[in-house]
Amino acid sequence: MAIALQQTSTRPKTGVLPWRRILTRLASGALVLWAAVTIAFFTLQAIPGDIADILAGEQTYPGLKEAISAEWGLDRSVFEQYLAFLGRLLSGDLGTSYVQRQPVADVLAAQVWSTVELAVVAGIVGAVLAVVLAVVSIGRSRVVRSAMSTLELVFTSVPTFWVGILLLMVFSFQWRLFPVAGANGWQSLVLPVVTLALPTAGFLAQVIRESMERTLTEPFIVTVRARGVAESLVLLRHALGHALLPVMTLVGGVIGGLLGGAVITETVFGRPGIGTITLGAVTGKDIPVVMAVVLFAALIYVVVSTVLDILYTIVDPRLRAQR
Amino acid sequence: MKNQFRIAIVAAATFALTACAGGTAATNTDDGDPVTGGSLTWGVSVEPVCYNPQRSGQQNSFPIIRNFAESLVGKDADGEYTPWLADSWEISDDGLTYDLKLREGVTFTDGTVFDAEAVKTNLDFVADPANATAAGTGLTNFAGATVVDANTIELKLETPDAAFLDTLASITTAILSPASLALEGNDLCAANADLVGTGPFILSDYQAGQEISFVANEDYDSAPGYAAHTGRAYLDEVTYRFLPEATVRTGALSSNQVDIIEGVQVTDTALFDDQPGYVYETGPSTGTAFSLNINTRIAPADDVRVRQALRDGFDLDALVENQYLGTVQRAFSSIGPDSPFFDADLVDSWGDDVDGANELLDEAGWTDRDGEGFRTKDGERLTIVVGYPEPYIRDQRDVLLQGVQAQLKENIGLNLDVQSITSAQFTDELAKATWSVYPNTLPTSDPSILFRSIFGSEGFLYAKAPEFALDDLIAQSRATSVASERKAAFDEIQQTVVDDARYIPLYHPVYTVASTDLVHGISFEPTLNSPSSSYDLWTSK
Repeated sequence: MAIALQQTSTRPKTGVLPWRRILTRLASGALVLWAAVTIAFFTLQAIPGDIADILAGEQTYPGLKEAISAEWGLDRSVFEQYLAFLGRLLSGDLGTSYVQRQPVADVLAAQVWSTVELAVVAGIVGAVLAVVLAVVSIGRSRVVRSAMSTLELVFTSVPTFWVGILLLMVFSFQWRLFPVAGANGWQSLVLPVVTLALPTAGFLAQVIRESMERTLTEPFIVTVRARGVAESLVLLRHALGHALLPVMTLVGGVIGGLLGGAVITETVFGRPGIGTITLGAVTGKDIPVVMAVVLFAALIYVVVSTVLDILYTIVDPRLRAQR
Repeated sequence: MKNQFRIAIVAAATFALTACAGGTAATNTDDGDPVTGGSLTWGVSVEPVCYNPQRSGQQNSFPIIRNFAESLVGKDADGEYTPWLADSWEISDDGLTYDLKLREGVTFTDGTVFDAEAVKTNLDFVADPANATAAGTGLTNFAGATVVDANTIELKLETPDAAFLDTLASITTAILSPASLALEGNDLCAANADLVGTGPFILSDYQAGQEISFVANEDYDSAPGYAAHTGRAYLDEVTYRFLPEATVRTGALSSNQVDIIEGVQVTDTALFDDQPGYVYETGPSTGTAFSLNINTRIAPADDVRVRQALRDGFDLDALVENQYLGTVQRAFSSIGPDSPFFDADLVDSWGDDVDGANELLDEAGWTDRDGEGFRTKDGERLTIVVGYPEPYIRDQRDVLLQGVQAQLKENIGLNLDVQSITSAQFTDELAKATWSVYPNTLPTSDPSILFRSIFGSEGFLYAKAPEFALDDLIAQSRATSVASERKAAFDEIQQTVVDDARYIPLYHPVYTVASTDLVHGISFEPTLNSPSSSYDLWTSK
């Protein structure tokens, strides 16, 4: 855009990346991670029930509980356990799952990509669908617009679980177009992705449309139109481009929604992923696994918000001046 | 069960013939000989967290684990012990020495030879509390093993134990490769090549959260005495797909995406039971009933009259029938009707006596009523809390309890407060002995072991509280191996716990299996009540 070009030429050259901002973000990110695992650690301690008892389950025989306590270091004080846990984390060791009795890193590594694949594809599909819904409905008659927004409302408010079962019934059990379960090939990804993408699309479409409508009343759009630019180009290049800025703010929430929805989607479709792991770990008080999942979620949040922050300064030149 | 299977087969065959409408030869191979080859896919309800038979405590993990892990002794549908990895055994007159002759020519699937040394390594390992195995529970009497020669082992007990053969038949004492047990810091819970047994299948592929696959062990020839055939498994390959949603399992079977499913939802039974193209079967019930264990130490249930009123204050037959549509039996006793030790005298001896229950409560002093119609005494409402640990809730059992709750309120003004609690909270209450009512069912095993768990002071419900436990009777049932003497002790336990209403049996849970009619040889493993391994399965696909 012409305005942006002009601005860079008049400014002293400082590079595109705002390094100081990045460093501050990284430091605060580390703090967030530490706070997240610490709060999670002590919250889990507060839940009633002795871990050695839980691990023993309905087994009882002399020496069993002591053996379990010694095996997992549960005979030490909570604070000692916390320090040992932090020490392990710093050395990159996530510990061993109480229940699955395997290194947590292995447990997660085996499953995390399946969830990432599902969430990323669903995110992209959801975003594309949202843009299509918004662009198609904008400037149409009231009937079309309200029909669209009702559809979006349905997408966002219908439970993921129900959508998943419904899609399975129709496309898998009835028409046999897609397999019910597994992560084999793209066919098995279709239904879970649609299940997860619909609420995202519904939510984003509403925001995008509203934002576009506001942008369309801005004076610069009048200027653009005055130049005789085709209406479709006005919408797609100018209005949509500007409208996407506020949408970026929502990306954090969308990612949270995708990860949360993945838990349910994975269960319904019998797909591998961290959703299933998390569910089991929380109910079984499998602290090392819960901690790793908390860490993972916090890490994603920190990375995404840092990247967004940097992107803002690149996309919106006004922020760079404020540094 | 066999009869039921036959009927299903006949029904299916009849349909096939009708469909052929006078065709010359029926192509249906239902009555034909088993075919070797092919593969089948299961849809199962639970993904095991641990695949090590000696460590897993998950009932639903065992049908999968049985494909590669075998026990020394088998147990057939009549409760008789059969040879398996042990060809024969002799028990000394004092009941303290077991001489086992082991099957010759068996090898673990990693090539290690199965011999007396391997058995000793396994038993010593599971009996050592330091290894914290689930198998340790049954081996508290075990005093040690001596290798006599390569194929003979002598096992010593500290006290006579009628449940010892059952322990040897249990999947928890399955024999794993000594090479696997020797792996330092490896719990063998992961489904990978480290986990090695002598079974008819070898683990070939595992994708967490999705499925586990096995291929046939070509050299296999150590089938248990109760199996339908000997030699290698019929199938070349078998896959267990994890489908936790019941609706999804049903859909996957009806759309032919899997061949056989376990855990058929009650409302879906009609889709498969007696339907052309499908086979539906239920397993035996020899474990404990789904029941309410009432803590006799906690008021107001410390009063036997209150417990008895609770027991008789509702119409259990109607509740079970409405909820499970005839797929399960209402229970009268603590152990299942398919167990040889089931006490038939208890049938129709208790329950649904509202007038009697009201009299008992009047007698116990719960005579006033509050605004909601509940009985009170000294201003206290008659409330008994049921803490149901959330992870154990399945088969709509919480809905059944809500039905009981509603009837007790209506009939006798007792407030049965059914709560869903975390397993952590339950463990905590257990440790402090403050649990009030615990709804549970135990997977089958020798009744001595079952009763010790829930009524004995070595068990988890009345741990270290011998004054509330039935230790003498349990010891009596275990000390003799004369079946009639054992039965007398078991009968007395079954009657005692129902008479004083510390235990209210509700229904006998069973495993359900549905498959297409191209799957044959479905059976249930008597030591587990759950579907057997895939060893006897074959397909005419």
